[in-house]
Amino acid sequence: MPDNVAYFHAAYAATIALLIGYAVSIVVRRRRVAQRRAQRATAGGRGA
Amino acid sequence: MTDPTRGILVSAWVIARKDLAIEFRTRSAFLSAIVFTLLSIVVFFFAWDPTAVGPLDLAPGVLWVTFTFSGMLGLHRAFAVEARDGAMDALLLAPVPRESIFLGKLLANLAFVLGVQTVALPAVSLFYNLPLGAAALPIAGVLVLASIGLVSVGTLFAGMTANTRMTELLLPVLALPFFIPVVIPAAQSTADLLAGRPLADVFVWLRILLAFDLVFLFACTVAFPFTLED
Amino acid sequence: MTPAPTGSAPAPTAPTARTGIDWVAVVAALVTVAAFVRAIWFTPPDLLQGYAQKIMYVHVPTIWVAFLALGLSALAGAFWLFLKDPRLDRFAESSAEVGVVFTTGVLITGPIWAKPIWGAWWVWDARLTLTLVLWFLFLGYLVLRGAIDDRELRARYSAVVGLLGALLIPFVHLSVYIFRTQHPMPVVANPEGIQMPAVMQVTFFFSLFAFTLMYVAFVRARMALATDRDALEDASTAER
Repeated sequence: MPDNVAYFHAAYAATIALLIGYAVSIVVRRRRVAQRRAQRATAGGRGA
Repeated sequence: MTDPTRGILVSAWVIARKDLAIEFRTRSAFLSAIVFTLLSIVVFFFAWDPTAVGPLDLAPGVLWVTFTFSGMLGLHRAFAVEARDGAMDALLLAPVPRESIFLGKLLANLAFVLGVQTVALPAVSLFYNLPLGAAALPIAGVLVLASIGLVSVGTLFAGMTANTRMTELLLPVLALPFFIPVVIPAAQSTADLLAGRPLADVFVWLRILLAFDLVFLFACTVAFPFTLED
Repeated sequence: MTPAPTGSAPAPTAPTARTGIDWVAVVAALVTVAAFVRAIWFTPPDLLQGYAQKIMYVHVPTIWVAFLALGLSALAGAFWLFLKDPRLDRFAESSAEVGVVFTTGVLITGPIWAKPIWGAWWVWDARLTLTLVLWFLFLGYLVLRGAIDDRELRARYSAVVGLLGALLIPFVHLSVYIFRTQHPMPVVANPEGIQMPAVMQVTFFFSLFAFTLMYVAFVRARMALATDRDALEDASTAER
């Protein structure tokens, strides 16, 4: 059996990092939009 | 020919003539495209070791990379001339089918690109010491076939990116993936023809080019009205 | 004030995506973790290819999701042209982004597998080139979307690019295929003929299932983001 464990580790690590990174990016972007909505709501409330 | 088709082509011709008249009077884009082409041909020569890579192996790649990018310069021009003073809106109000606007722009772009190529091909032949000889006519045929495909996709995308931020950057990013299956057959058949192979050897490539032209000429003409607001 | 984490702010006029725990995402995450655990610790390595063969359990499902995502994105764009439903465009946008992320994964894990098995990181084979072109195509698609503010115009243009992209695929495949037959390159062993033992097959299909669930979860979350963003835009323009 050829010794290529390092490639296996590298590929799995890269895939896991990519998936987690993308999930985090969606969460962060959603949170940012939610914050902007909240800011608008309070600012709008004071302004009106 | 049926009447509506005839009408579309006639108005397309009028629009193409208008664009070419503007270009002919200013000559700015055409001249800069030619200078750009000549410059690239010269710069590319020094990018390789001429003793290691023969000019015969180099020339087709140089020719096609140069055409691809100089074509892009011309494509910008097509809709840039309509950007000022709401000219595009006026064009859309004109009582012509929208397919005509697209085909007219396409014809003008085709003339532009072919004009650049009539300068570039002899220049490559001169600078790379490659007498074209009997291959000149078939290579010109390849150039025309490839240009139709490039210009069909390019004109559609130029019209779209003209309405976006970062027009200049977006057109190559969008259009270059579409140029891959044009440049591969074009460069390969140019290389074969320059090497003196018979025309029958490049038929497989010419068929791909022809199919690409037909599919994308039709698809882009149909798609263009969809890119305009109702 | 401290910004509310999720949507507890008084909702403006426009509808927003549902907030709270997305159970589809939770299930997808659990199943994916299970699939990874099974592939890493409970599946034996291949006798001929060694541990590198296990890359297949993430690589092939990633390809499947990437192509599914990009294909559905183009399809949704086509339907949008006729139905003009903003949800279709948001789906096209979300599926394209997820597709680009998974195509990136394909382009990362592919070479890592190819190096030990084929002996080369990259080969200009028809499938590899096609994957690369698709990646470029949909990166361009996302850049185009980012460069247009008008929602209707953005949807139109995206739909057209997606449809033309679908037409492009056979041409790329054909021209690269003929290029390869005319310029023979170092022949690489084709290990796909290997018969998979049952234990490996179970891992493979489990992983395929997990990645498909993940696709659904990602697209749902991404669509929720698009819905919220559009609602925020609507509220801002309504105020002006």
